[in-house]
Amino acid sequence: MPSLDFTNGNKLAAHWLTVWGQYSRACDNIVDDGLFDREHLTQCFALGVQTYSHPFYQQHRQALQMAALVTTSLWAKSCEWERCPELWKRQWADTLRHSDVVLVNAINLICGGGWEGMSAATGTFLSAGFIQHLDKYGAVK
Amino acid sequence: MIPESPGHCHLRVAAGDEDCFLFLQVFEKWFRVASKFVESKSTDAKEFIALAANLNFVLSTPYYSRNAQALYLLVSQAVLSLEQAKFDALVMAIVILRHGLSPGLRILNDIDQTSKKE
Repeated sequence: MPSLDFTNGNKLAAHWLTVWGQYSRACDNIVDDGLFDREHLTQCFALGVQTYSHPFYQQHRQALQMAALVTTSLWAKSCEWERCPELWKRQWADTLRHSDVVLVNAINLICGGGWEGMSAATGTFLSAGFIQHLDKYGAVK
Repeated sequence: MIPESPGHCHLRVAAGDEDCFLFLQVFEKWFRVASKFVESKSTDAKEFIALAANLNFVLSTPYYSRNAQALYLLVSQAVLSLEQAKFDALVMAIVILRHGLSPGLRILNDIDQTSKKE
């Protein structure tokens, strides 16, 4: 997805968003594919260090920490519910897997996108995320 | 060189800087839990996600935030290897940052001697 659109043209923020994307994908792969071996775990943690040491994150740490932890908490629930027998939990999981939208909104706000920017970023991010996931895994059953 | 779980050593290394002490304590705890998780070959997703979330808490502490540029590489190496020697290298860097090179090395030597006696 085009990170610069979400960051109101801020390149450092867009770079951080890319690093965050790599880190969250690494976490997701470990959970989804059961890659709990030493190599995958330590490389994932190292990506975490890269993510949270990034100048953009450190510069806006107080605002971004809350968004990052809310995102992580929602994603954790999505991981827990995506294989539950109850349809409503799997449907919630299908929504919560795109919890990065919280972070995208926070970044957009930091970068001066204002309400219009946040609204546009939310629509673009959720639409793209939904379509990508639907193409790859199909609809929730 | 540095004994494991060294609360009293952290106090000496931090030398009155509460933020520094907090960072050492929370990172040491994260490091210990992460090492145990990796060694156990656990496949518990909840435990893994908690580690990922707690890494955020560690790296959002004020001391790390102030010194991220200096400590980034050492923290990365410690996390990538989860070896005690790499953690010790980070403590060594912090003691030098806090005290300067010669006094810092003297403190590390002193801690080493004390731990041998214990």
